[in-house]
Amino acid sequence: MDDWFPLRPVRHSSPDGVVMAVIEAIQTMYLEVENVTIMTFSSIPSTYEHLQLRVSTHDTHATGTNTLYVRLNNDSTSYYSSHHMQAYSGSGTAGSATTRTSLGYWGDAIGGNNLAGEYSTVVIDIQDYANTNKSTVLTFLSGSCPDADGSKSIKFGSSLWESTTTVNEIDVYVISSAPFQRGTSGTLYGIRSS
Amino acid sequence: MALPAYIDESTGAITDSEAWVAVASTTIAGSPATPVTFTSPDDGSSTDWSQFMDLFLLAYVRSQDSGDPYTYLSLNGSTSFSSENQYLQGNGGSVTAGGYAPSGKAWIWRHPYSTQTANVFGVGICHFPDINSGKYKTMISQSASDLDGSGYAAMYSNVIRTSAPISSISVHDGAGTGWTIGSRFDLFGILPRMVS
Repeated sequence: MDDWFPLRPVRHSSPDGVVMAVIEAIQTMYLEVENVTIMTFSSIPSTYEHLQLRVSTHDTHATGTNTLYVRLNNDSTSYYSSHHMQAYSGSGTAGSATTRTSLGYWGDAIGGNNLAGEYSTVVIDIQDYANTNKSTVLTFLSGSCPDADGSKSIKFGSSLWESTTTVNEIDVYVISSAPFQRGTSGTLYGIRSS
Repeated sequence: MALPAYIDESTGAITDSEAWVAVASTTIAGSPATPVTFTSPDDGSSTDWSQFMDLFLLAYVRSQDSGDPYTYLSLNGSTSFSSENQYLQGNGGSVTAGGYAPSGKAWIWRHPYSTQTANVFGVGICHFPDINSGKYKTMISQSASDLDGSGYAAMYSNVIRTSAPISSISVHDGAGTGWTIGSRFDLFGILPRMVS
């Protein structure tokens, strides 16, 4: 017996018969002042299949790199878990995890004792964010190369939000005493078939 | 000159359209060539880099060199800027990490070369965030190539310390010997949200 039931969504094709993906910019945030603690993407439409968040940050935390935290739908009740592997400070390698916390860990953020022009980069893919039968899972790729204390890093990881609610808001934080600096930016993209 | 798709040709109004724009593509077809260089047309057209938030490079590469697996980038035609690199790589048997600071260059991928398994190419991607800002120019990238059980999967973080907008990108094979025929490089521009 064939256990696989093929699901073939109805999609529009381009003139040459190829199904085309559409990637649309939903919202861009560009910080033009100093010391803002939260970057919020709100009223996210549920009409896309996946989301991609691309951020570039610099904050005032005293160390070389800091943690980029995220909360979905402003929900501090449901649990978040995260894990990652990384290389750091040259030859260092590590992996670690956080379990069932009130914030998701989505990568690194360059801190305040580095050159003003240095920013972290994080690209986050949030798959099937509108599916109400799945807890939301995402992957992130994060890179930082600050000069101050050699705390450069490259990380790849994943995060889980134990909720099946459609994602309609993303709040990006560093710790409250280390707010984002001017030039911190982020754009949320929606990905769907045409 | 093609207007950007986010400009309504009849009214001139700004709209939001497809955010990813295919900017340029190069496939090595003749004698070995290195580096492969992409340059902004700087003409206000749909492929002018000054309108993009980010760039994204996708490549399928192999070099003519007999032993150098490293792919480097340089920006804006210069290798005089200071830089930093951090990498994590695995070859099927071990995982290693390290960092380099090659002047003005960003080490973004490992690729197969001429004495390795025939006809095998490696795949690489590279993100360039906020290319028109005054920030130092950072890149995060990943590469993978399997060579019948060996090869490398790797990821990289780089900074090249120039605050100038990125107006050209040169992709070098490490030894400068040249890319193999069939190597392909595709560059995409990523627009921000255009309408509030």
